Amino acid sequence: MAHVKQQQHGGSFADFLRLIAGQATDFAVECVRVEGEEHPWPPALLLLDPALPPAAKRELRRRVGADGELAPNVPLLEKQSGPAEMDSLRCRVDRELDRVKKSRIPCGLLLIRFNGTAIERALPIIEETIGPDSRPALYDEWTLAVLQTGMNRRSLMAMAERLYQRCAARLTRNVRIACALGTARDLAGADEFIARTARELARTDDKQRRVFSAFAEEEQDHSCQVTAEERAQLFSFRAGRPQ
Amino acid sequence: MSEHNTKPQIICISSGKGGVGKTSFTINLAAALSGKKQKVLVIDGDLGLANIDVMLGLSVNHTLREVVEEGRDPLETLVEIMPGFFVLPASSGVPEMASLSYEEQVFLQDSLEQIIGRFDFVLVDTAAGIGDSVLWFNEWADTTFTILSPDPTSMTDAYALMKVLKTRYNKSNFQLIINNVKSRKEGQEVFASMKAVLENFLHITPDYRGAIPQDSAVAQAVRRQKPFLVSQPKARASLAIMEICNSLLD
Repeated sequence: MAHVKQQQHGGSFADFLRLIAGQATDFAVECVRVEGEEHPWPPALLLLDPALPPAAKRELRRRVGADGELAPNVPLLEKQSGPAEMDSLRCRVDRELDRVKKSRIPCGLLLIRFNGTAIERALPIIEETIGPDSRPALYDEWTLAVLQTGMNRRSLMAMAERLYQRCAARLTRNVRIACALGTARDLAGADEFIARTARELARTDDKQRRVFSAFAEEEQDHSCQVTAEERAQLFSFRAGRPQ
Repeated sequence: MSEHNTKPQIICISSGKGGVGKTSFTINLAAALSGKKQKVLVIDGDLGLANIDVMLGLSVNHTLREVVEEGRDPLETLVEIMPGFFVLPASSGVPEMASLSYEEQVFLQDSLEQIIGRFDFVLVDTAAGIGDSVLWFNEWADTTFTILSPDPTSMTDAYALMKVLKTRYNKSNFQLIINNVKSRKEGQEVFASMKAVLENFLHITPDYRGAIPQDSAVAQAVRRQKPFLVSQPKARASLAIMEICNSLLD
Protein backbone atom coordinates (compact mmCIF):
# COMPACT_ATOMS: atom_id res chain seq x y z
CA MET A 1 0.00 0.00 0.00
CA ALA A 2 2.96 2.29 0.45
CA HIS A 3 3.43 2.08 -3.32
CA VAL A 4 -0.11 3.22 -3.86
CA LYS A 5 0.23 6.22 -1.59
CA GLN A 6 3.48 7.22 -3.20
CA GLN A 7 1.96 6.87 -6.60
CA GLN A 8 -1.01 9.03 -5.67
CA HIS A 9 0.64 11.79 -3.75
CA GLY A 10 4.38 11.62 -4.39
CA GLY A 11 4.70 12.86 -7.97
CA SER A 12 5.28 16.56 -8.47
CA PHE A 13 4.76 18.53 -11.66
CA ALA A 14 8.53 18.57 -12.10
CA ASP A 15 8.53 14.76 -11.98
CA PHE A 16 5.79 14.72 -14.58
CA LEU A 17 7.78 16.97 -16.91
CA ARG A 18 10.84 14.83 -16.36
CA LEU A 19 8.82 11.80 -17.37
CA ILE A 20 7.61 13.48 -20.55
CA ALA A 21 11.12 14.64 -21.40
CA GLY A 22 12.38 11.09 -20.92
CA GLN A 23 9.71 9.62 -23.16
CA ALA A 24 10.42 12.26 -25.77
CA THR A 25 13.92 10.86 -26.23
CA ASP A 26 12.39 7.74 -27.74
CA PHE A 27 10.83 9.75 -30.56
CA ALA A 28 12.01 12.06 -33.28
CA VAL A 29 10.98 15.23 -31.48
CA GLU A 30 12.83 18.21 -30.16
CA CYS A 31 12.19 18.86 -26.53
CA VAL A 32 12.80 22.36 -25.21
CA ARG A 33 12.78 22.99 -21.48
CA VAL A 34 11.40 26.43 -20.83
CA GLU A 35 13.36 27.76 -17.89
CA GLY A 36 11.58 29.58 -15.08
CA GLU A 37 13.03 32.29 -12.90
CA GLU A 38 11.08 31.49 -9.76
CA HIS A 39 11.56 27.76 -9.63
CA PRO A 40 14.67 25.61 -9.83
CA TRP A 41 12.88 23.27 -12.25
CA PRO A 42 11.52 24.04 -15.72
CA PRO A 43 7.87 25.10 -15.47
CA ALA A 44 7.11 23.89 -19.01
CA LEU A 45 8.28 21.75 -21.87
CA LEU A 46 7.85 22.49 -25.54
CA LEU A 47 7.79 19.50 -27.85
CA LEU A 48 8.56 20.36 -31.47
CA ASP A 49 8.41 18.50 -34.71
CA PRO A 50 12.04 18.64 -35.90
CA ALA A 51 10.82 18.85 -39.50
CA LEU A 52 9.31 22.29 -38.88
CA PRO A 53 11.04 25.16 -40.66
CA PRO A 54 13.43 27.07 -38.37
CA ALA A 55 11.22 30.16 -38.52
CA ALA A 56 8.20 28.23 -37.31
CA LYS A 57 10.23 26.73 -34.46
CA ARG A 58 11.46 30.19 -33.49
CA GLU A 59 7.90 31.50 -33.45
CA LEU A 60 6.68 28.67 -31.27
CA ARG A 61 9.56 29.16 -28.86
CA ARG A 62 8.84 32.87 -28.74
CA ARG A 63 5.21 32.21 -27.82
CA VAL A 64 6.15 30.18 -24.76
CA GLY A 65 8.92 32.53 -23.69
CA ALA A 66 11.78 30.33 -24.84
CA ASP A 67 12.79 32.44 -27.78
CA GLY A 68 16.54 32.58 -27.18
CA GLU A 69 17.24 29.75 -29.58
CA LEU A 70 20.87 29.36 -28.66
CA ALA A 71 20.54 30.45 -25.07
CA PRO A 72 22.06 27.91 -22.70
CA ASN A 73 18.87 27.76 -20.63
CA VAL A 74 16.97 26.21 -23.52
CA PRO A 75 18.80 22.96 -24.06
CA LEU A 76 17.66 20.48 -26.63
CA LEU A 77 17.60 16.95 -25.41
CA GLU A 78 20.19 14.65 -26.85
CA LYS A 79 20.30 13.39 -30.36
CA GLN A 80 19.37 9.81 -31.09
CA SER A 81 22.97 8.62 -31.39
CA GLY A 82 25.91 8.54 -29.02
CA PRO A 83 25.52 8.27 -25.28
CA ALA A 84 22.42 9.76 -23.73
CA GLU A 85 22.58 12.45 -21.07
CA MET A 86 22.06 11.61 -17.43
CA ASP A 87 18.82 13.62 -17.29
CA SER A 88 17.42 11.33 -19.90
CA LEU A 89 18.67 8.24 -18.09
CA ARG A 90 17.16 9.49 -14.84
CA CYS A 91 13.79 9.79 -16.58
CA ARG A 92 14.11 6.30 -17.94
CA VAL A 93 15.09 4.96 -14.51
CA ASP A 94 12.06 6.74 -13.04
CA ARG A 95 9.75 5.14 -15.57
CA GLU A 96 11.39 1.76 -15.20
CA LEU A 97 11.16 1.74 -11.40
CA ASP A 98 7.50 2.64 -11.72
CA ARG A 99 7.03 -0.27 -14.09
CA VAL A 100 8.97 -2.60 -11.79
CA LYS A 101 6.62 -1.77 -8.91
CA LYS A 102 3.63 -2.64 -11.06
CA SER A 103 4.97 -5.67 -12.89
CA ARG A 104 7.35 -6.96 -10.18
CA ILE A 105 9.88 -7.72 -12.88
CA PRO A 106 13.15 -6.23 -11.64
CA CYS A 107 15.53 -4.02 -13.55
CA GLY A 108 19.25 -3.47 -13.29
CA LEU A 109 21.54 -0.48 -13.47
CA LEU A 110 25.20 -0.77 -14.42
CA LEU A 111 27.88 1.86 -14.12
CA ILE A 112 30.93 1.07 -16.23
CA ARG A 113 34.06 3.11 -15.69
CA PHE A 114 36.97 3.16 -18.11
CA ASN A 115 39.88 4.72 -16.30
CA GLY A 116 41.96 6.59 -18.86
CA THR A 117 40.19 5.20 -21.91
CA ALA A 118 38.01 7.41 -24.06
CA ILE A 119 34.34 6.56 -23.74
CA GLU A 120 33.91 6.81 -27.53
CA ARG A 121 36.16 3.80 -28.01
CA ALA A 122 34.24 1.74 -25.47
CA LEU A 123 30.80 2.69 -26.69
CA PRO A 124 30.59 0.23 -29.62
CA ILE A 125 31.56 -2.68 -27.37
CA ILE A 126 28.99 -1.70 -24.77
CA GLU A 127 26.24 -1.21 -27.34
CA GLU A 128 27.00 -4.50 -29.01
CA THR A 129 26.84 -6.33 -25.67
CA ILE A 130 23.72 -4.77 -24.21
CA GLY A 131 21.73 -4.99 -27.44
CA PRO A 132 19.52 -2.49 -29.23
CA ASP A 133 16.85 -2.21 -26.53
CA SER A 134 19.05 -0.29 -24.18
CA ARG A 135 21.07 2.85 -24.59
CA PRO A 136 24.12 3.86 -22.56
CA ALA A 137 24.16 7.26 -20.91
CA LEU A 138 27.16 9.37 -20.05
CA TYR A 139 27.48 9.31 -16.26
CA ASP A 140 30.75 11.26 -16.16
CA GLU A 141 33.85 11.69 -18.29
CA TRP A 142 35.00 8.11 -17.77
CA THR A 143 31.77 6.33 -16.90
CA LEU A 144 28.78 5.00 -18.79
CA ALA A 145 25.44 4.11 -17.21
CA VAL A 146 23.29 1.33 -18.64
CA LEU A 147 19.73 0.57 -17.59
CA GLN A 148 18.69 -3.02 -18.23
CA THR A 149 15.03 -3.93 -18.07
CA GLY A 150 13.69 -7.33 -17.06
CA MET A 151 16.89 -8.37 -15.30
CA ASN A 152 17.24 -10.45 -12.21
CA ARG A 153 20.31 -10.61 -10.01
CA ARG A 154 21.85 -13.51 -11.85
CA SER A 155 21.35 -12.15 -15.36
CA LEU A 156 22.61 -8.74 -14.29
CA MET A 157 25.81 -10.22 -12.89
CA ALA A 158 26.20 -12.29 -16.06
CA MET A 159 25.79 -9.15 -18.15
CA ALA A 160 28.39 -7.32 -16.04
CA GLU A 161 30.84 -10.16 -16.44
CA ARG A 162 30.22 -10.32 -20.20
CA LEU A 163 30.82 -6.59 -20.49
CA TYR A 164 34.04 -6.87 -18.55
CA GLN A 165 35.35 -9.79 -20.60
CA ARG A 166 34.67 -8.07 -23.91
CA CYS A 167 36.18 -4.77 -22.83
CA ALA A 168 39.19 -6.54 -21.36
CA ALA A 169 39.74 -8.55 -24.54
CA ARG A 170 39.28 -5.72 -27.01
CA LEU A 171 40.05 -2.46 -25.24
CA THR A 172 41.44 -2.33 -21.73
CA ARG A 173 41.50 -4.34 -18.53
CA ASN A 174 41.19 -1.16 -16.53
CA VAL A 175 37.41 -1.39 -16.33
CA ARG A 176 35.30 -1.24 -13.18
CA ILE A 177 31.63 -2.22 -13.20
CA ALA A 178 29.02 -1.69 -10.51
CA CYS A 179 25.50 -3.11 -10.57
CA ALA A 180 22.33 -2.49 -8.61
CA LEU A 181 19.00 -4.24 -8.84
CA GLY A 182 15.67 -2.41 -8.65
CA THR A 183 12.89 -4.57 -7.26
CA ALA A 184 9.21 -4.06 -6.50
CA ARG A 185 9.93 -4.02 -2.77
CA ASP A 186 12.59 -1.40 -3.24
CA LEU A 187 11.10 1.99 -2.49
CA ALA A 188 14.12 3.99 -3.66
CA GLY A 189 13.53 6.66 -6.26
CA ALA A 190 15.63 7.14 -9.39
CA ASP A 191 18.22 9.38 -7.75
CA GLU A 192 18.72 7.04 -4.83
CA PHE A 193 18.94 4.05 -7.16
CA ILE A 194 21.61 5.75 -9.25
CA ALA A 195 23.45 6.92 -6.12
CA ARG A 196 23.41 3.40 -4.74
CA THR A 197 25.04 2.10 -7.89
CA ALA A 198 27.60 4.90 -7.73
CA ARG A 199 28.49 3.88 -4.18
CA GLU A 200 29.17 0.39 -5.44
CA LEU A 201 31.39 1.83 -8.14
CA ALA A 202 33.43 3.54 -5.45
CA ARG A 203 33.69 0.21 -3.65
CA THR A 204 35.20 -1.44 -6.70
CA ASP A 205 38.23 0.75 -6.08
CA ASP A 206 38.26 0.20 -2.35
CA LYS A 207 38.09 -3.54 -2.74
CA GLN A 208 40.11 -3.73 -5.94
CA ARG A 209 37.44 -5.78 -7.65
CA ARG A 210 36.35 -5.45 -11.22
CA VAL A 211 32.62 -6.00 -10.61
CA PHE A 212 30.71 -4.99 -7.54
CA SER A 213 27.01 -5.35 -6.89
CA ALA A 214 24.57 -3.66 -4.55
CA PHE A 215 21.69 -5.99 -4.04
CA ALA A 216 19.61 -4.22 -1.45
CA GLU A 217 16.99 -6.87 -1.88
CA GLU A 218 19.44 -9.49 -0.66
CA GLU A 219 20.36 -7.42 2.37
CA GLN A 220 16.71 -6.86 3.19
CA ASP A 221 15.89 -10.53 2.86
CA HIS A 222 18.59 -11.38 5.34
CA SER A 223 17.60 -8.61 7.68
CA CYS A 224 14.07 -10.06 7.97
CA GLN A 225 15.10 -13.62 8.58
CA VAL A 226 14.55 -14.79 12.14
CA THR A 227 17.96 -15.61 13.54
CA ALA A 228 19.02 -18.39 15.89
CA GLU A 229 19.61 -15.82 18.65
CA GLU A 230 16.11 -14.44 18.29
CA ARG A 231 14.59 -17.90 18.44
CA ALA A 232 16.62 -18.86 21.46
CA GLN A 233 15.38 -15.83 23.35
CA LEU A 234 11.80 -16.36 22.22
CA PHE A 235 11.65 -19.74 23.89
CA SER A 236 13.78 -18.90 26.90
CA PHE A 237 10.78 -18.58 29.22
CA ARG A 238 10.01 -22.27 28.76
CA ALA A 239 13.32 -23.37 30.17
CA GLY A 240 13.17 -20.72 32.89
CA ARG A 241 16.30 -19.11 31.50
CA PRO A 242 16.86 -15.44 32.24
CA GLN A 243 15.76 -13.15 29.39
CA MET B 1 -26.92 2.02 6.53
CA SER B 2 -26.53 5.66 7.43
CA GLU B 3 -23.55 7.80 6.57
CA HIS B 4 -21.17 8.22 9.49
CA ASN B 5 -18.03 9.74 7.96
CA THR B 6 -15.64 9.63 10.86
CA LYS B 7 -12.21 8.12 10.82
CA PRO B 8 -12.62 4.58 12.05
CA GLN B 9 -9.97 2.69 13.92
CA ILE B 10 -8.56 0.16 11.46
CA ILE B 11 -7.19 -2.92 13.15
CA CYS B 12 -5.48 -5.70 11.28
CA ILE B 13 -5.54 -9.11 12.93
CA SER B 14 -2.61 -11.27 11.84
CA SER B 15 -0.65 -14.15 13.23
CA GLY B 16 1.94 -15.41 10.80
CA LYS B 17 1.00 -19.02 11.49
CA GLY B 18 -2.39 -20.38 10.47
CA GLY B 19 -4.88 -21.99 12.85
CA VAL B 20 -4.02 -19.74 15.77
CA GLY B 21 -7.52 -18.31 16.10
CA LYS B 22 -7.50 -15.09 14.09
CA THR B 23 -10.93 -15.51 12.56
CA SER B 24 -12.56 -16.69 15.76
CA PHE B 25 -11.04 -13.77 17.66
CA THR B 26 -12.08 -11.30 14.95
CA ILE B 27 -15.74 -12.26 14.80
CA ASN B 28 -16.06 -12.43 18.58
CA LEU B 29 -14.39 -9.07 19.06
CA ALA B 30 -16.73 -7.62 16.41
CA ALA B 31 -19.72 -9.11 18.22
CA ALA B 32 -18.50 -7.64 21.50
CA LEU B 33 -17.91 -4.19 20.01
CA SER B 34 -21.27 -4.13 18.25
CA GLY B 35 -22.88 -5.11 21.57
CA LYS B 36 -21.41 -1.88 22.92
CA LYS B 37 -23.21 0.14 20.24
CA GLN B 38 -20.16 0.40 17.99
CA LYS B 39 -20.47 0.06 14.23
CA VAL B 40 -18.02 -2.60 13.15
CA LEU B 41 -16.93 -3.73 9.70
CA VAL B 42 -15.11 -7.05 9.45
CA ILE B 43 -13.19 -7.48 6.21
CA ASP B 44 -12.25 -11.02 5.30
CA GLY B 45 -8.65 -10.34 4.31
CA ASP B 46 -7.96 -13.93 3.36
CA LEU B 47 -8.87 -13.05 -0.19
CA GLY B 48 -8.26 -16.42 -1.81
CA LEU B 49 -9.26 -18.79 1.01
CA ALA B 50 -11.90 -16.92 2.95
CA ASN B 51 -13.65 -18.47 5.92
CA ILE B 52 -15.39 -15.78 7.92
CA ASP B 53 -18.57 -16.68 6.07
CA VAL B 54 -18.08 -20.31 7.15
CA MET B 55 -17.43 -19.37 10.76
CA LEU B 56 -20.65 -17.35 10.78
CA GLY B 57 -22.73 -19.84 8.79
CA LEU B 58 -23.38 -17.33 6.03
CA SER B 59 -24.49 -18.09 2.54
CA VAL B 60 -22.98 -15.25 0.55
CA ASN B 61 -23.84 -14.39 -3.00
CA HIS B 62 -21.27 -11.66 -3.53
CA THR B 63 -17.76 -11.19 -2.26
CA LEU B 64 -14.75 -8.92 -2.55
CA ARG B 65 -14.02 -10.75 -5.76
CA GLU B 66 -16.92 -8.97 -7.47
CA VAL B 67 -15.81 -5.69 -5.93
CA VAL B 68 -12.35 -6.09 -7.47
CA GLU B 69 -13.24 -7.78 -10.72
CA GLU B 70 -16.56 -6.21 -11.58
CA GLY B 71 -16.47 -2.94 -9.70
CA ARG B 72 -19.44 -3.97 -7.57
CA ASP B 73 -20.39 -1.47 -4.89
CA PRO B 74 -18.84 -2.77 -1.66
CA LEU B 75 -21.81 -1.43 0.32
CA GLU B 76 -24.07 -3.81 -1.58
CA THR B 77 -21.69 -6.63 -0.77
CA LEU B 78 -21.89 -6.16 3.01
CA VAL B 79 -23.69 -8.73 5.11
CA GLU B 80 -25.21 -7.61 8.40
CA ILE B 81 -24.63 -10.24 11.09
CA MET B 82 -26.28 -8.41 13.98
CA PRO B 83 -27.07 -4.77 14.60
CA GLY B 84 -23.89 -2.79 13.97
CA PHE B 85 -21.81 -5.83 12.92
CA PHE B 86 -21.17 -6.07 9.16
CA VAL B 87 -19.00 -8.45 7.17
CA LEU B 88 -17.38 -7.89 3.80
CA PRO B 89 -16.87 -11.50 2.71
CA ALA B 90 -14.13 -12.76 0.41
CA SER B 91 -14.01 -15.66 -2.00
CA SER B 92 -12.62 -19.11 -1.42
CA GLY B 93 -10.65 -21.18 -3.92
CA VAL B 94 -9.77 -18.24 -6.15
CA PRO B 95 -5.97 -18.10 -6.48
CA GLU B 96 -6.13 -14.86 -8.50
CA MET B 97 -7.56 -13.08 -5.48
CA ALA B 98 -4.69 -14.29 -3.30
CA SER B 99 -2.19 -12.44 -5.48
CA LEU B 100 -3.77 -9.20 -6.60
CA SER B 101 -1.96 -7.08 -9.13
CA TYR B 102 -0.80 -3.59 -8.27
CA GLU B 103 -3.78 -2.03 -10.06
CA GLU B 104 -6.21 -4.35 -8.29
CA GLN B 105 -4.71 -3.46 -4.92
CA VAL B 106 -5.17 0.22 -5.69
CA PHE B 107 -8.73 -0.37 -6.75
CA LEU B 108 -9.52 -2.45 -3.66
CA GLN B 109 -8.02 0.15 -1.36
CA ASP B 110 -10.06 2.91 -3.02
CA SER B 111 -13.23 0.83 -2.75
CA LEU B 112 -12.68 0.13 0.93
CA GLU B 113 -11.89 3.73 1.75
CA GLN B 114 -15.23 4.75 0.26
CA ILE B 115 -17.15 2.82 2.90
CA ILE B 116 -15.07 2.67 6.06
CA GLY B 117 -16.14 6.15 7.18
CA ARG B 118 -19.49 4.64 8.16
CA PHE B 119 -17.94 2.54 10.90
CA ASP B 120 -16.27 3.03 14.26
CA PHE B 121 -14.03 -0.01 13.89
CA VAL B 122 -12.73 -1.86 10.84
CA LEU B 123 -11.29 -5.27 11.66
CA VAL B 124 -9.30 -7.01 8.92
CA ASP B 125 -8.91 -10.74 9.39
CA THR B 126 -5.86 -11.44 7.25
CA ALA B 127 -4.60 -14.65 5.72
CA ALA B 128 -1.88 -16.63 7.44
CA GLY B 129 1.69 -16.13 6.33
CA ILE B 130 3.51 -13.04 5.19
CA GLY B 131 2.10 -12.80 1.68
CA ASP B 132 1.47 -9.53 -0.14
CA SER B 133 -2.12 -9.12 1.02
CA VAL B 134 -1.14 -9.66 4.66
CA LEU B 135 1.57 -7.03 4.41
CA TRP B 136 -0.46 -4.39 2.63
CA PHE B 137 -3.53 -4.83 4.83
CA ASN B 138 -1.24 -4.36 7.81
CA GLU B 139 0.31 -1.31 6.27
CA TRP B 140 -3.11 0.14 5.61
CA ALA B 141 -4.26 -0.45 9.20
CA ASP B 142 -3.61 1.87 12.12
CA THR B 143 -2.83 -0.98 14.47
CA THR B 144 -1.72 -4.58 14.16
CA PHE B 145 -3.17 -7.10 16.57
CA THR B 146 -0.77 -10.01 16.47
CA ILE B 147 -2.39 -13.14 17.76
CA LEU B 148 -0.25 -16.05 18.86
CA SER B 149 -0.42 -19.13 20.99
CA PRO B 150 2.24 -20.42 23.39
CA ASP B 151 3.43 -22.92 20.73
CA PRO B 152 7.01 -22.28 19.58
CA THR B 153 5.94 -22.34 15.93
CA SER B 154 3.25 -19.75 16.52
CA MET B 155 5.63 -17.52 18.48
CA THR B 156 8.29 -17.77 15.79
CA ASP B 157 5.87 -16.99 12.97
CA ALA B 158 4.30 -14.08 14.85
CA TYR B 159 7.75 -12.67 15.51
CA ALA B 160 8.74 -13.15 11.85
CA LEU B 161 5.63 -11.26 10.73
CA MET B 162 6.36 -8.35 13.06
CA LYS B 163 9.98 -8.33 11.95
CA VAL B 164 8.97 -8.04 8.30
CA LEU B 165 6.43 -5.30 9.08
CA LYS B 166 8.98 -3.36 11.10
CA THR B 167 11.87 -3.83 8.67
CA ARG B 168 10.07 -3.29 5.41
CA TYR B 169 7.19 -1.02 6.40
CA ASN B 170 8.49 0.62 9.57
CA LYS B 171 5.44 -0.51 11.53
CA SER B 172 5.94 -0.46 15.25
CA ASN B 173 2.44 -0.37 16.72
CA PHE B 174 1.91 -4.02 17.67
CA GLN B 175 -0.59 -5.25 20.21
CA LEU B 176 -0.27 -8.87 21.24
CA ILE B 177 -3.06 -11.28 22.07
CA ILE B 178 -2.03 -14.63 23.43
CA ASN B 179 -4.61 -17.24 22.55
CA ASN B 180 -5.28 -20.67 23.97
CA VAL B 181 -3.37 -20.20 27.20
CA LYS B 182 -3.64 -22.52 30.22
CA SER B 183 -3.54 -19.62 32.64
CA ARG B 184 -3.14 -15.87 32.81
CA LYS B 185 0.40 -16.49 34.00
CA GLU B 186 1.23 -18.41 30.83
CA GLY B 187 -0.14 -15.57 28.72
CA GLN B 188 1.98 -13.06 30.59
CA GLU B 189 5.08 -15.23 30.24
CA VAL B 190 4.63 -15.58 26.50
CA PHE B 191 4.11 -11.84 26.21
CA ALA B 192 7.17 -11.08 28.34
CA SER B 193 9.29 -13.35 26.18
CA MET B 194 8.02 -11.82 22.96
CA LYS B 195 8.42 -8.30 24.32
CA ALA B 196 12.02 -8.96 25.34
CA VAL B 197 12.94 -10.23 21.87
CA LEU B 198 11.14 -7.36 20.11
CA GLU B 199 12.90 -4.81 22.32
CA ASN B 200 16.31 -6.45 22.03
CA PHE B 201 16.39 -7.07 18.33
CA LEU B 202 13.85 -4.74 16.72
CA HIS B 203 13.84 -1.94 19.30
CA ILE B 204 10.06 -1.85 19.53
CA THR B 205 7.84 -2.29 22.56
CA PRO B 206 4.58 -4.14 21.96
CA ASP B 207 1.45 -3.65 24.04
CA TYR B 208 -0.24 -6.49 25.87
CA ARG B 209 -3.85 -6.53 24.77
CA GLY B 210 -4.86 -9.69 26.62
CA ALA B 211 -4.93 -13.47 26.73
CA ILE B 212 -7.70 -15.87 25.84
CA PRO B 213 -7.85 -19.07 27.86
CA GLN B 214 -8.30 -22.58 26.54
CA ASP B 215 -12.03 -23.12 26.49
CA SER B 216 -14.20 -25.86 24.99
CA ALA B 217 -16.77 -23.17 24.16
CA VAL B 218 -14.50 -22.00 21.34
CA ALA B 219 -14.52 -25.32 19.46
CA GLN B 220 -18.25 -25.74 20.06
CA ALA B 221 -18.94 -22.30 18.62
CA VAL B 222 -16.90 -23.07 15.51
CA ARG B 223 -18.98 -26.17 14.91
CA ARG B 224 -22.21 -24.26 15.52
CA GLN B 225 -20.99 -21.49 13.23
CA LYS B 226 -21.78 -18.81 15.78
CA PRO B 227 -19.59 -16.45 17.83
CA PHE B 228 -18.99 -18.03 21.26
CA LEU B 229 -19.60 -14.62 22.75
CA VAL B 230 -23.20 -14.93 21.56
CA SER B 231 -23.81 -18.62 22.24
CA GLN B 232 -21.93 -18.78 25.56
CA PRO B 233 -21.45 -15.26 26.88
CA LYS B 234 -20.34 -16.48 30.31
CA ALA B 235 -17.61 -18.77 28.97
CA ARG B 236 -14.06 -17.91 30.04
CA ALA B 237 -13.07 -17.12 26.46
CA SER B 238 -16.06 -14.78 26.11
CA LEU B 239 -15.09 -12.92 29.26
CA ALA B 240 -11.55 -12.51 27.94
CA ILE B 241 -12.89 -11.09 24.67
CA MET B 242 -15.07 -8.67 26.63
CA GLU B 243 -12.01 -7.49 28.56
CA ILE B 244 -10.20 -6.79 25.30
CA CYS B 245 -13.28 -5.05 23.91
CA ASN B 246 -13.57 -2.85 27.00
CA SER B 247 -9.89 -1.95 26.85
CA LEU B 248 -10.36 -0.84 23.24
CA LEU B 249 -13.19 1.46 24.23
CA ASP B 250 -11.44 2.96 27.28
